[in-house]
Amino acid sequence: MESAIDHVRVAQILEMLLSLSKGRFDCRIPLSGEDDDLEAVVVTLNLMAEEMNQTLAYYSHLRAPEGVTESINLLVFLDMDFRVKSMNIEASRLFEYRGTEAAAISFSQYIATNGQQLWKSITKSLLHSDSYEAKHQLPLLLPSGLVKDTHFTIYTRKEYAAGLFEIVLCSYETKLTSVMLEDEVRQAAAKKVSSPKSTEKASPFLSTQDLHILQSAHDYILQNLSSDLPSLRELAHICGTNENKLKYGFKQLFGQTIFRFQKNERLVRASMYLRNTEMDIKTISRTCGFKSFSHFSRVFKEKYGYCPTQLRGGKRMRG
Amino acid sequence: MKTNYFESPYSKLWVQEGVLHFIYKPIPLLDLSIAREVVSGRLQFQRGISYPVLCDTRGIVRTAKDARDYLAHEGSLMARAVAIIDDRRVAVVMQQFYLSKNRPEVPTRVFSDKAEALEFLRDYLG
Repeated sequence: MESAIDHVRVAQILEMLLSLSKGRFDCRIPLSGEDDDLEAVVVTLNLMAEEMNQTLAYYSHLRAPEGVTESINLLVFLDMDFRVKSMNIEASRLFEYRGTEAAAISFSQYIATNGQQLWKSITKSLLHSDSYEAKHQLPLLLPSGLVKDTHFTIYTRKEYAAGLFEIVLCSYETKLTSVMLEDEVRQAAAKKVSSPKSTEKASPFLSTQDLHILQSAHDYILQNLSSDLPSLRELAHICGTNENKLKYGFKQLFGQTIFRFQKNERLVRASMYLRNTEMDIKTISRTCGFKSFSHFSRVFKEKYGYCPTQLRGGKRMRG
Repeated sequence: MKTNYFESPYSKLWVQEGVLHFIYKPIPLLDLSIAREVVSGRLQFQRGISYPVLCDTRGIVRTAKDARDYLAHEGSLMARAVAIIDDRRVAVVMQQFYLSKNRPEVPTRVFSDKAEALEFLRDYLG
């Protein structure tokens, strides 16, 4: 019996690997609740897919910042008994739904076990509300046995005069246009025409080694928030690169300059201490690397819209 | 001797022989809001004092990615070192993945044995 269970789990792992090899990083293998080597492989694969999903989206932004498009991908119409009336082609493909079944399928069949309770509470709200509209993350159960977490907007469409009552589920996804070479070329050409005034240095595509170096600079800053940053030249030397690459690469990868990143992180940390500790504000300012209290207070207000003292006075969380 | 025992919906914590013991209660999915609450509760409990932290994660079933990213950043604030205790095969793999991807700002290691974890933290007592 145990080997039969393992067989199913191995099949799911293979399915997941196939899915990854096709460039689909949004599926996950449902956890079995076992605590064995196979489950360890499953967990690692799921974590890896999550990381790849984010990293590849990030690459896409890096390569074509204006070329990321969002489009509706899944569109499902249900009757008021939560049975499928119809769905768009992409959803039909995903669920292998042919729309020819004699009896309409209950949508709950497409929801993974860990989403059933949420779906139940949504259906309850749908029934009791005259005009329901809400966003939910639902884990969908695919025919392959994998699970795909999907953000849906769910709303009721009620047209009493026409006697039309239905529930619409709609999700969107970000399309990675960087995978389409033609798009990239077109966007580069369009950018050249539309922004001739841009004086920023063209950022070359970052190599894997560059990414590691920039990540180490990022970590170095976080680990030394309370002290002054060395000069760019010194920091570049510490991280094993040159000043130019560090300066432009960091901005390209993290979307802000090194010094702005350090300031923001210092402020985030200060806010954390202010809200959750008894440390006095001057100590917090010093601990987070600010040279003077007045400077800290000013930049804090610029970022959050109120002074550190106001946060202490009125917004502190319960102890 | 245990001092300052505190219990929140997601954790139990106390200080014993200079070590902050932090035990996660059963949590089916540790998401970002829970992670924020947990860190905030711990910082409030510590009242500005840094401790070596013994963190028992056996109650956590799953974690959301944004919660992991948040904890990688803020999870070790005001900790001198962190010893994570988890004896589940799956959890050890998850922790190793987490530690290899995020470089914690303080010395952090995973243990399956509590005595070994306390031994590791002994070097960071005040």
